[in-house]
Amino acid sequence: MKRTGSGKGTGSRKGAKRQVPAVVRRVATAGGGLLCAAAVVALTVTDSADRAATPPADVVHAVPVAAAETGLVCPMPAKLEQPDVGDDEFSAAPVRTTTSLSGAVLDAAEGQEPSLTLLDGTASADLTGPLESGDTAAVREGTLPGTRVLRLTPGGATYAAGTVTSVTTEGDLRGLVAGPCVTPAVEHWLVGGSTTVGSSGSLVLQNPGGTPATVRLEAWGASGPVVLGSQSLVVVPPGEQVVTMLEAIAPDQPRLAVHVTAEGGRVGAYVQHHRIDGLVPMGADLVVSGAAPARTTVVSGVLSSGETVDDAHAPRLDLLTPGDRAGTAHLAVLGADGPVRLRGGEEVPLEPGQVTTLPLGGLPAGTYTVVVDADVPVVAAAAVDRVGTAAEDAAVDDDPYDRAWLAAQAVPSSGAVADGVVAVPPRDATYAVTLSGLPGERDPEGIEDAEGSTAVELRGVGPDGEESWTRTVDVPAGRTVEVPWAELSELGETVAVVAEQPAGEPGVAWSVRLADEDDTTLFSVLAPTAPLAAGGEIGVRRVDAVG
Amino acid sequence: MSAPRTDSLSAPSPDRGPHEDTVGPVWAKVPAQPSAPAPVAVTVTAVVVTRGSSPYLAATLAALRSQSRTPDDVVVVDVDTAPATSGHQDLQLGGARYVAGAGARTFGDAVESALVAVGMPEHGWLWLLHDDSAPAPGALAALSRAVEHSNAVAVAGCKQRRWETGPDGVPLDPEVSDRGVLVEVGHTVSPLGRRMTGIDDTEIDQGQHDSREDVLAVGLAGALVRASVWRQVGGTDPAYGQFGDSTDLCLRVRLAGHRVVVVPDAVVRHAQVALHAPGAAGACRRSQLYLRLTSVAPWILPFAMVAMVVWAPFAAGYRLAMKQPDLARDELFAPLWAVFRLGRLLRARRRIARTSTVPRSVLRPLLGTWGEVAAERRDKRLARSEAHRFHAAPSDLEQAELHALAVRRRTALTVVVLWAAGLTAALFGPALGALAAGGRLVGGALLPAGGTTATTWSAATSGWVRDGLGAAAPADPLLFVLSGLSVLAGGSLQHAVDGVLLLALPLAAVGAWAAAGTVTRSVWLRVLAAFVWTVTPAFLGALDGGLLGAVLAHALLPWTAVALVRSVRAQAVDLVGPREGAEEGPAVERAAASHLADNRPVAGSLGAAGTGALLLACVVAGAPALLPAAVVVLAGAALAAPRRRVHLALTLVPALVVGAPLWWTALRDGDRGLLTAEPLAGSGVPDPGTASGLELLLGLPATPAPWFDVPDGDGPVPTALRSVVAAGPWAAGVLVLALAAAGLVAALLTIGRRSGDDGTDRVATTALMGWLVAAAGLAVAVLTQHDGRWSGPGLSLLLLGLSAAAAAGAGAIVGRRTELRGFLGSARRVGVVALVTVAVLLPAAQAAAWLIGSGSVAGGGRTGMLHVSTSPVVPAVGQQMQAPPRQARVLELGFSPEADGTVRYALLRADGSQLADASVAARASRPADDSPAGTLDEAVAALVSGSTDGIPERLAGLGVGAVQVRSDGGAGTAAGTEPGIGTAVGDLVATLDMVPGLSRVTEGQAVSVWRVALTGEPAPGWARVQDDGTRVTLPSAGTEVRADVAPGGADRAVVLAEAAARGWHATLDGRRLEPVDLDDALGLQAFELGPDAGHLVVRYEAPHRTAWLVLTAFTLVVFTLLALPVGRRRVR
Repeated sequence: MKRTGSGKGTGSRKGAKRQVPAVVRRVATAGGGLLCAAAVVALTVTDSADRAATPPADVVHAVPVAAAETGLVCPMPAKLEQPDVGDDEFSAAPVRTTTSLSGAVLDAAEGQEPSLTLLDGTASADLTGPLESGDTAAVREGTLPGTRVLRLTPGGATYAAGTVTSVTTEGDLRGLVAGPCVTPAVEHWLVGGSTTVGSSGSLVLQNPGGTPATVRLEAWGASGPVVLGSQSLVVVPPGEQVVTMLEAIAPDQPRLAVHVTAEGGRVGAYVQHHRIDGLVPMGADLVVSGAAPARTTVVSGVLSSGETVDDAHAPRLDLLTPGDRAGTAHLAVLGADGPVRLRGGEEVPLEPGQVTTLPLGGLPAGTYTVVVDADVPVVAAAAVDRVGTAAEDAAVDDDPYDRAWLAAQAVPSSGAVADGVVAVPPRDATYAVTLSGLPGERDPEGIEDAEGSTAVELRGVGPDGEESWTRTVDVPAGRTVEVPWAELSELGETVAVVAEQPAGEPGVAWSVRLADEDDTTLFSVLAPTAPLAAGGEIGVRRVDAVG
Repeated sequence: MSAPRTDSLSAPSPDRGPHEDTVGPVWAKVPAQPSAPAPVAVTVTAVVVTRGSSPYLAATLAALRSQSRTPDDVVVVDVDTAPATSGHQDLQLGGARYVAGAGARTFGDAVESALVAVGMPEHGWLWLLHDDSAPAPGALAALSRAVEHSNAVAVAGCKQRRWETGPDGVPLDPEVSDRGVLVEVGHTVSPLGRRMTGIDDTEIDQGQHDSREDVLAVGLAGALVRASVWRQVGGTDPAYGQFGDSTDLCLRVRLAGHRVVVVPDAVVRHAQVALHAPGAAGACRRSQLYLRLTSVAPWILPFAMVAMVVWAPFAAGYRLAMKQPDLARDELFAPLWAVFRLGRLLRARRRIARTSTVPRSVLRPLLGTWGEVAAERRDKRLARSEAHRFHAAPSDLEQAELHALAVRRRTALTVVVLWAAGLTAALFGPALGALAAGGRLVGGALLPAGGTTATTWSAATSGWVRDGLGAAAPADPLLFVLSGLSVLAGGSLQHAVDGVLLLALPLAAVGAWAAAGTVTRSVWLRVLAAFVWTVTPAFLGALDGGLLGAVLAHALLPWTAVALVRSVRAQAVDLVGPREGAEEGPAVERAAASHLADNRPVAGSLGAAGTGALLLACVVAGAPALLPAAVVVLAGAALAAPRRRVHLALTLVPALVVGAPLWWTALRDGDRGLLTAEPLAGSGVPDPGTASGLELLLGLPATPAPWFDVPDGDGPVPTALRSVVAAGPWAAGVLVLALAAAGLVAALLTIGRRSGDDGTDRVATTALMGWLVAAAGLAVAVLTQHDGRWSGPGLSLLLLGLSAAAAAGAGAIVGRRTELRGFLGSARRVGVVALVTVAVLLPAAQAAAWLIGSGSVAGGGRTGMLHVSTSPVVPAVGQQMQAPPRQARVLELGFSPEADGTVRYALLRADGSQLADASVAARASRPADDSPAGTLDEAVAALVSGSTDGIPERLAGLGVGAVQVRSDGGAGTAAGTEPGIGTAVGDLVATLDMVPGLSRVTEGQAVSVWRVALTGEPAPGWARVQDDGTRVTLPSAGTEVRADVAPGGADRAVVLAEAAARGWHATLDGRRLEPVDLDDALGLQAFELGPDAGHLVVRYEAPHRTAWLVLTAFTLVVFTLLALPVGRRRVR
């Protein structure tokens, strides 16, 4: 820059000695000033051109971890909890319930076969069926005397599924009751069931771990949260299960949703629900854990027989927003020929804490998938009834019904993926697979224009553990495709159906409808079990705790 | 030898003027032959010692020649001559004998060489004269009279008066221009050996000291010394050099039993050239100490030496505080010089003992007393302050003007203070209660700051960062600054941090006010500068984000600028009093140099330089990215500074020294990121955001959001409102930039014309310097943003530069238009009022928008921002484990709030991650997988994934005593925003519940804690002894183990829960233990212990730590003493 003091001529000897020529000073000053200004301009201009704010070095450390041992805890065989009244003619259970378990673990490593144990981990009791190990899977199936846990040691297994199927042809428990074996978890959302007169629900909490689990129950009914009082805390000892009658703790609820949270251990939870109308059985099924509250949820496999809107046995959808904010849910009903308009039911107002029921009557006969998009997190489930024929010796000749509770499936924010497995009993039952392509755009205007399709590969695992069949199903977005049982039964005995979809294509939701081979009105709908968490990498990041 | 003379009785009074016949060279008038020879009692040989050709010599010789009683012989000794000249005899100089005294290094040597050349008179007297001491005509006569009737007198000295010099340094004729300023009338020494004359610096001779006769010592310039005594005592001691030899000689003469008298009638004018030469002060000090050592009793000598050396640093400190760095250096070195001359000293003492005939106690009545010393000090102080008052007192007119200015200034300053206090109250007010109740300010990048001054100091200087499992890395220099501040805050680091944040706004506002005052004296501009400086987004963003360093840098930058500008005395001052030139209008104050500065030599302020250096060190510690910018700016400023450029260079020293370990690391690793990273920042650093170059130039660290939401609408009003609100955040920056550009243009325009006016000159310099600072600041901002860091410090510097240029520009615009009259004049007034209104409203709107947007620190919704926290991070049970002597760590687990499955963990050694453990250098190095940190990562991943075999053992090995999970989200985050977090946390809790080896401690609280409790093992701690599988936890404190160990197995090892590093040292009963690499130590530091019992000491020692600390302490002490506000006069 420049010296300014020397120009004043204050007469300091140094100043006189070091006097720089005025021209030089002025040029230097002007040059310096312009240089600074030019630097500012250059910085302003150039940095916006190649500006790339590189973040500080990524501090997330990816650590490979081995898959942990898991156990799938299976439902116990269905049974009536109330005592028999003693009159044979009015017996609640005139026939035996037959229960079978089929379980399959795919791609288990050599020498790491899955084991079946009791809840407390002991393997000494009489277990179900022999272990069949094939190229594809290790399979166990057979009749089930009690609660079992399917334990897996880590070792590369991709899928594991088990299904417990109980068939009762007569009596209060008439119906096909089926439920999957589930991974114990700290949280379950059970939507469905009722505790009005004639209805009975028993909440089964199973603790396969080694520590006692303190389970907290929350329940919501049609008119809001249900006060459970002191019964809301249940301690499940390690290796044991606790059965709680819902009608005892939340009586007179026509609709019900239960939230189970466990502390101290992981538990399995489901509700075995049945109801009767006088003496006529109105169906039994398991209400199993569905998707946690989310903005989007999907219920696959809603079966309509063409019931009218006001038919009490029309399929219905139960919705609950467990938060404290009201909202609106938009429904998209995907049928075989694309989305179906649900008159008056496409927008459902949601009151916080109240279980809202939306009847799905008026749909043409067929199988549907309901996609719920709400502006608040919701949980959902559907109930489907099928009418059967009264037994010849029944005291009342009204037609009995069987009911299936369809648990909602989660739609991850990254999009639904069909990958999953459903175990089916290989004998005495038939099954059908329902697949629906979920359109990315689901508002009423855009849903019709959904395009694209997904080629879902279905694989069947035979009882010998070998792959018994494969089949590729083209699922167009916005439509529901059903692979009927007639077609599937030709392919041979199957203990598990695996579906996989290629990455990048529209998401698919699917389910399996099980029915008794002799009376297909006894049925149940199973949602797929997600693939096992592969041993992979966990991102670990050291941070600071400030409170 | 001349013939004896008898005219001494008729000598005229020395105060009479010169003789009548003063035509021609003065010495030519001296009669070559005595006109009236008469018998005399004394023979006098005058010896004039000169060093080469001196401007005084001719006059001195003339004075000698004009003596009323001429000396019998005159010898001139030139000590600055070639040795070859010494070979010549009988040289003449101006009628006097000329002796070439080559090789004579002292006055005494020169006299000796004269005596050798001319022969020592047996009973004669030597009249010793310096080249710069001109005796009055009657001096010799008076001296002769005093000595001729007494055999006891051996030395007779003159009354010394100052020989005046003209303004150009040319000596005046001593007989004509004699103001009668006294130098000395004999002197004595203080009890500590300092020369005492009993005369003020400016005391005029009115005969008030003429009653003195017997004195301890006289100055040898003009003194008559009995030649035999000179020989007897051996002349002067060459150890004294130029100073103090008179005192020493007279002392020895006294001890030899002779009298030393002063003859007030004999006057000599002494210029004391040597005293004003460079280095004279040091020589004086040396001779003073030497004299002291020769005078004390023998048994005191060693103590005196030690005391002298010990006292030297304190004396030097005092000199530094008085802003006399040269004297401080002399104070330090003089004692060493004296001590290292022990041999000569002892010889001198022996010689004194040999020539002494009377005990030293006879001198006592002549010695100065402590009372006299105190009185002299007091007189000197009073005289000096009176002189200052007399010189600096403004006239009545000036006083009235100054008063009016002060009223305006104080009013405006009050507005600024109220503004800053209001902002502070809005931000921190609601949190004060919580803070007083033990809360702390945390959040964003700010970590909990537990610890005391001692622990902070240790963390700042030890070279070991206790971050996670520890790392050998330099701490951030900011921690050094904070450890200093914590002393002021009562020993608590948290209080220091809280205090910095609480005071940041007022400090920044008043600082900006003061800094603007160095550029412009307009109170309006200064107020505006303070407003803009406090609400700039770079500052408010740093406050919100808890970026302590950036906040400190922004608050101190203006103060640093003030100090640096003052250190070269380039600040604007109020111009008062009558002004030359017909200046009209209300321009009561304007930027101009002080008239005071014109009247006296303008010096830079050393105190301001010291203060500026310390402040710069703090600023650079707060924002290391500013270090290169500071170097560039100071280099530019040194070119532009009017004076004292070395001050600007020195101001970098503390910044460089305090942060030396970090600078060295950055230099060694070539890692620019160490400088651009935010110091002491936790992992919660807010996203710095990205801004375009233009946004950066306008002082915006990120693209700004509109001030507030405007309701939707298509009408013209909402549209207009929306555009105003969206443009609002940009407006302040645009205004500053426009004014700065005006300043640059004004500066460039002045270059072509003649710079006669100082004000114009200042505008140009200020604008140019401002743009240089702005360019440096913008460069820093661009670099930091490029590194993905907070660009605030660079933007602060940018704003500083632009504001300086803008103030200069505004001054130029206002100054240029003063001449306007009539319509233009009123238009200008309207324009100025409008501009001021807009400029006041803009910062107010910005502050309001900011307060509405973020609320106070006590309010909710400040996730990831600075907030006040009252709940502990670690529950009491965990804190108990963390306390010494166990010092186990607590592992906090959680998930990232983005619900991407990333696990977050924090390893806590205290209640939360500690501020003192955050080090940029430690975090820059990524741990290897097999390091303890990698092991910990694996353990955490295993814990979360559920495969927990052997994990508790591994945790115990790493010194983790407990695992905790927050139910509200996880480490480093507040409540989880995604719904998946709650489930994941519940899952984690269930997993941990099921791990054997972890036992749950707390139930149903916000934080769940599991104790690592292995069966058959002691509770994990920081240090342990491992003996063949069994472990014993050792007591420890900080990073030290001092414990007694019992005997044990041969393969025992001590294992610390810290990463292995070379700086760890262990001793058992003083015997060094070898570090060892154990397989099961997980990469931790371990030492072979062996079977013996003993006292075990383990500690960390960084290399070069002591050297750095000594250097730092020395630098800081020096600069602190310089910065102390004592020993300088306030100059406006």
